[in-house]
Amino acid sequence: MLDVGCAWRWCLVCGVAAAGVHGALQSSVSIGAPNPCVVLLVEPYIGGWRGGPTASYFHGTNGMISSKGLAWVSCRRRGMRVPLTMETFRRVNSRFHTPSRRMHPRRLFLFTLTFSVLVLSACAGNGPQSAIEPAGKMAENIDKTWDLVLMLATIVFFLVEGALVVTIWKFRHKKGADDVRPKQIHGNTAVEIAWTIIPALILAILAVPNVKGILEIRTVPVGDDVLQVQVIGHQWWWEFRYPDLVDDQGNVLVTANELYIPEQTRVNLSMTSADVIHSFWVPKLNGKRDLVPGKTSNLTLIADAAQEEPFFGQCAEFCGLSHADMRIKVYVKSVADFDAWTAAQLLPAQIPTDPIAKAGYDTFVSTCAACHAATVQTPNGVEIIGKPYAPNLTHFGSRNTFGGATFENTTELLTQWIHDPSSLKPMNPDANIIPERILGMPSFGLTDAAVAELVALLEGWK
Amino acid sequence: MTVEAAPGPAMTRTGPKGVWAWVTTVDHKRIGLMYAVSALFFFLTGGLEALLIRLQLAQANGTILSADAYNQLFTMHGLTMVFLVVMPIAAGFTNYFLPIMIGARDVAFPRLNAFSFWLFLFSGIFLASSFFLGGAPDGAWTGYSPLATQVKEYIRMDFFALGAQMLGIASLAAAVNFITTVFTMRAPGMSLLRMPVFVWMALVVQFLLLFSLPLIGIGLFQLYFDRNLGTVFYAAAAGADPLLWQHLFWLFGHPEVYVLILPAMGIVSDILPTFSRKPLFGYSFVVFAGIAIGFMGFGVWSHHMFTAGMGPLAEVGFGLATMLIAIPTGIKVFNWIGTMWGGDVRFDTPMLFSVGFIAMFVIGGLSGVTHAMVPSDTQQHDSYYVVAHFHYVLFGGAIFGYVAGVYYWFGKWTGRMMNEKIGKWHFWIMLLGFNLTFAPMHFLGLNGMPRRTYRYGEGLGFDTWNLVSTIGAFVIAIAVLVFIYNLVWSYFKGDVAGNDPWDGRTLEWSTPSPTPLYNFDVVPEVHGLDDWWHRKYDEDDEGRLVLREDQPEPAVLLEDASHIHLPSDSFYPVLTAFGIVIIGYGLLYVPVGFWFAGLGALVTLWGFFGWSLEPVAKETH
Amino acid sequence: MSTTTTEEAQTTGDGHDEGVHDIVHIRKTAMWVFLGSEAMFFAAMISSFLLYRTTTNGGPGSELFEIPFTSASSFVLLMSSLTMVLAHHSFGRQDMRQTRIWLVATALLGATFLAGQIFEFTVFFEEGLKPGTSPFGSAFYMLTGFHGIHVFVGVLLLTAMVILSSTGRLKPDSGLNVELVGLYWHFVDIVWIVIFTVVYLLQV
Repeated sequence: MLDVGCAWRWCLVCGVAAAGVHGALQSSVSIGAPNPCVVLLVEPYIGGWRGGPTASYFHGTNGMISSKGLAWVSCRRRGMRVPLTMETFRRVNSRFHTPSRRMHPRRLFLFTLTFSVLVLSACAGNGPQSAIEPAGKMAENIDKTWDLVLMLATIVFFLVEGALVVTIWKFRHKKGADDVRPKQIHGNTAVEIAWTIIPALILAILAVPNVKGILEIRTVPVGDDVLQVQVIGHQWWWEFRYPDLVDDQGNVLVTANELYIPEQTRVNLSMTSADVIHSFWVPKLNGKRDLVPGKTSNLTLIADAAQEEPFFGQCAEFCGLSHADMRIKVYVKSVADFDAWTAAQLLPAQIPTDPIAKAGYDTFVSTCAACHAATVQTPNGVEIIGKPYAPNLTHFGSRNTFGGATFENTTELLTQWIHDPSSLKPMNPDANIIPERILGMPSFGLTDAAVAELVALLEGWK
Repeated sequence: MTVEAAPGPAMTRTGPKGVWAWVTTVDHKRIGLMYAVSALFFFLTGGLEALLIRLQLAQANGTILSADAYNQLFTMHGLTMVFLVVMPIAAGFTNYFLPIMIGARDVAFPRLNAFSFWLFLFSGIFLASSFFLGGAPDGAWTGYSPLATQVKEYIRMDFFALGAQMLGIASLAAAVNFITTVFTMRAPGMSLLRMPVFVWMALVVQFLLLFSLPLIGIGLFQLYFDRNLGTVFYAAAAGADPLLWQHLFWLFGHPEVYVLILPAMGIVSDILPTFSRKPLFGYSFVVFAGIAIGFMGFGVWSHHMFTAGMGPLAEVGFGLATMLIAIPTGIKVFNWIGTMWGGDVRFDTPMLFSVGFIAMFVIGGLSGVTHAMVPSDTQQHDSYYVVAHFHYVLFGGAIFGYVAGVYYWFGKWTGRMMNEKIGKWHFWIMLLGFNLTFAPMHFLGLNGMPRRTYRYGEGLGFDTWNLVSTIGAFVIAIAVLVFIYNLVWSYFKGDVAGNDPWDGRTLEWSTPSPTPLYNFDVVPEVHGLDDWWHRKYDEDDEGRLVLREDQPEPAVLLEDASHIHLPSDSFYPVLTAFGIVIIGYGLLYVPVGFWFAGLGALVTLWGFFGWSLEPVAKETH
Repeated sequence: MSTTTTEEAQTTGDGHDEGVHDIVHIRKTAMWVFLGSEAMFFAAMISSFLLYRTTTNGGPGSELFEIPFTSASSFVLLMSSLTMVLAHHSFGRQDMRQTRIWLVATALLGATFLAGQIFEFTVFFEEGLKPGTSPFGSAFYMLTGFHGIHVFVGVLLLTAMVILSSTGRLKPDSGLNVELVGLYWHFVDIVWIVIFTVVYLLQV
């Protein structure tokens, strides 16, 4: 499953690194000489940020590597976008550096080998939960710092490993050459100072975007246009509350596991935990942030564009038995669709008229309501029935998944779940002390008929 | 290598024989060997845990293990590999070679040394026994609270709190012992800057342990008190701050990382010059870089907490400090390459593993720098990318370094050399398996796979690389089997080592193999760095190597060594350690177990009293 | 060679005096190293306490402290450092009778301090501060409790030395050594000065 985008990306990195090693080797490891490749790589990057003079020459789309993972350097020279191939790279590079010798076949082989390995393995950014194929502004900013550090690290990797390989090859003991008497060199202070300072300089290049990036991702968005969402982590599900979205009675919109947000809107997640430490991680939208009981943390999401498929994420801090099944789906909607979703979610659930579902409602009130809540239109008006210790079920039927966004919301799975939740998802309800410690939903030993009634009720609560 | 193996049968180990002699021994060499053998045993259990984990993750929605079993296994895999494998194998090398390398006959407190070993071994068995006593710790080796204090009914995390505490006491006693040894027991002329790099790195490690173990000790006490005595150090409901545990844990946990890697760096720093036939390039820079890493190790603990919410200022500070640590690490790598540059580099197995160490460690080091980029780290933290990173450092780094040490010093331990041919097979299979297992984890992490998850769904793009990784794990298992075969084969049939099979540089090569109980018949007088080397070689005007005409007399086993006074064997260290582990078992079962703990306390007191009233060296003639 | 009855390895070969290591020096080095570790032990607890000094969870807090009472018991402990110095001094002059007197005095002062601490704990318990009341309570009892245990161990060591010296077994090179125990005792005192300042005085 070779992804063209990432292949390009690795081409760039490997090509630059190979040329860098090649150049360095030719000048017999003259580490101190200014390396044109480094200049080539770093200049547009920093220039792009600072908008300095180099920015007009190499202008990165979102920095050097575009958000879609394509390794383009869009050289906006005379308005043209030129994909950076080895060919163009060599052409640009020759402005700084005239190749004097062809690459040794053996070296070429080595680089080709490494190159192919890396390209083959470059499919890292190919999944729905990928951290390096961002689809939101915050994740894109993070990805920029990753690209920068990856490139510098790759160059250093080739330089150091290259030097290692050359050294052990060049100075290996040759068969029969038993009279070799190596010169006893004890050290060289100048060299030591050089290889102390050069890494320090490389790190200095990284320090600026590092600090800048920290300030960016830690800025809590303010303003009327910011959508506020409270996130509460539970073992092992997510509670989402929209404090500004309320119905006529002042009831807040509450949902679970599936987060809906409008596109291109700043969303501020205020997060805390009801039990142990969790971590909210939807890689395509932002890095992870822990939810610590007794504290509130913030995370900003700004999704690029609405899409049909949800963004995948999951809890990233080990939180006990079912940590693996505490997943997240984020649905990004157009503003209009989001408003429609909001309006629907704010409506109360109805007490069913169908006798089967009505029987299910009675079971809900007598059993489920000990932990689950629902906003219901009762004869006395809109009431919240039940306790908020487990996912709110008001619009359960409208959700695509349940059980920590782990299971498809199908009749079959839902039936199995209500019969015996632990058969689907490992939990420890025997250790429950409600409400201090809830470690999963117990099996209530309901009859098949009672389960079917509940399923009918829940599927009807769209 | 150049020096011919001595003819005749291998020399036998000196000193009393039998199980009891080993149980009561206070000889630093025997204790070192016991550390090494125990570490190998625990390595096999930890490896078995890893194989089960990899089998479970081979495909999406794996069903080989339950979530409960998986959580116990990954927790124990971490605890085992860190506390029961890498630390003790490093302790094994330190015990055996540190005194010899500084020209001493033993450590400063031989019985305390035996106590450290037995307490380590008993604590390791204590931790492993949890599998049969209601389940192993299942809260990750980091034991984050409040998860670790949440379910007090199960004693699993009490095993963690008590086991780690006892291991800490063992390491602390060893740290006091080794530091005192280095500062007071060096041979005449062995100034600090004439000590082999391995001794230096071991010394830095002991300081790291000395200052970091009390911190985790307090954390573990708090954890235990919260679980059993009703305190509320980590109860958020009472207003406590769960991050306190993380700070205490990582204030220990980060120096611990260097505890694991620095001795391996020391071993490699001693192997490279031997096989390049050149002195270590920039000895003092390598030593000071090691010290700098030790110091900085205490200032970067919070980089394990970039997603925990410490505030941007702390994140900036710790992010930048973490970057700085790359500098001394780089200095070491460059000096190692500089050592080989211009040398006459021979690739016997110890050297292969050392070069493998450098190559793999560089990868782990560079991925470490990517964590120092805080924004980037918020994506990588607690993902498989981090798992890849620390396995490159601790397996590709530390374990490769220690295996290099085993191949290097096996002859000194047993009198016989490891088989070179099998050794080379071992190296290449291990290198292949290692990269096959851990390189894909980089991609898994970047693809969004969090660590410590017992299953993953289909369609996330995790399947292929997980399968590759599992295959790799079994390749490593083959490599380990080859290694064990080599150890056994070589122990019985290996070539006779002779005193100095590699044409070595440091003092241990001046002694017979295996090293006699008394180490040196005459305590050596040291005139410079690599003293043993300079007794064999000179430099000519160009600085090239020439063989000295007056070669040192090879040391032979004394027939009568009774004039050398050595500490007598003692039963009390093992008794005291046993008493402490009884206390440990008692404290698991509050409150009835307190009686049992009391019994353990009596045994411990008996051990202490016997210890202090017993004369150290009994009159032997 | 004489019988080596001391704790460490006597690594001497006949005629090689350079192999003899100074036992007292080795032990003193080890004690200093150990105290370095102990300092971190208390630093961790003091940090925990500072974190929780106002986290009283609705229970009693620092208003419980009776500064005059604790000042008095702190003074008792400080005086014990003085008597310890005097014991060490007498020991240096090989005046075993004087040494014993001052050792007993030190142990008694230490025991008085402990009694004061037990009394204080009892009062706090009655007024509703228990280890499980609040993080403040947990951290307070852990810090002062572990310090108390250190004082208790010190008193035990002092008592053992008094007993040893009365049977004439207390020698400059013996394991239980006035100088080593003195180092330990002074350390425990200094830690108390820090605790008293941080826990009691800064709260007011």
